[in-house]
Amino acid sequence: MTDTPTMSAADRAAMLVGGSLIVVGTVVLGLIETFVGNPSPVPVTNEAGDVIAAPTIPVEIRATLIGLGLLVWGCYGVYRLAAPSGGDATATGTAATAK
Amino acid sequence: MATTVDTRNVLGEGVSLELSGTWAGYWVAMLRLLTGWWFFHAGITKYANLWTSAEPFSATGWLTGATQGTVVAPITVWFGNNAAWFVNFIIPLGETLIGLALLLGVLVRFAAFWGAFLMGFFYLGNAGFSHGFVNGDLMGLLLFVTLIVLSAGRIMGLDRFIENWDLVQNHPRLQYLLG
Repeated sequence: MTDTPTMSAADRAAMLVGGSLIVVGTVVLGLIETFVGNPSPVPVTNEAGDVIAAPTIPVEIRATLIGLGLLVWGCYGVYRLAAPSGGDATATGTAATAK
Repeated sequence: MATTVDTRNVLGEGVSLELSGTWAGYWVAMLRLLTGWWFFHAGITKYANLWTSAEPFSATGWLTGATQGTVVAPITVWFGNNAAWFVNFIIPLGETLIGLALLLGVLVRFAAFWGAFLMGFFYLGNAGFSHGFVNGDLMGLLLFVTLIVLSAGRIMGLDRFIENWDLVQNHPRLQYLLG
């Protein structure tokens, strides 16, 4: 099984931008949020309804980052579908008949 | 960029799967990171009482109440009545360590096995399966199995380097815990 890494600019952009946005929105900001002292991305309340821990980073910002990352991946998929030759020499994920 | 994977033993004679090795590797790493964060967050937030006034984590209600009538009830109820302290200790610690291992790519197969083990209890402890038999808990379990099958720790993970240690080279069986 061999692999020739001929990545197009679109491949690299989708991987880097899409992946970075999602990892930042989930893991990176999540780690910061956790160790700043807020255990949850949303306000935590006790049984009396008092807020005992509020997020430092607004949940809308993290959701927007993750949403943009998903959008980048989605746009890349549409691009591969629409571009001539699927954006590069070989389309991915297709079944072929072995010799 | 395409890689041909021979799947004829699984999918039938003469069939192979053509895919992008680069994208496949990228996706495996992404699955590992997000699954790792999912469990790390689930575990670390159960220690929230250490830095907020939150109540300490307790699984007793789930063990003795929510799982009643399920196929795992003989185990969960017994633990809830006799050794709840152990479950209350091991679930936060296990989730945190499993998540950390996946985030770093260390002992990924070993960690993912225990992730699947925990998800098995969470899945089978669904009283009534009100969300159906294929639900989020089963999807989580399948994610861990996927990481095991695809050796997710070898891609952008530290297992790639650990597998070169003499210890592992001399005991290849350890690769079933790594990678």
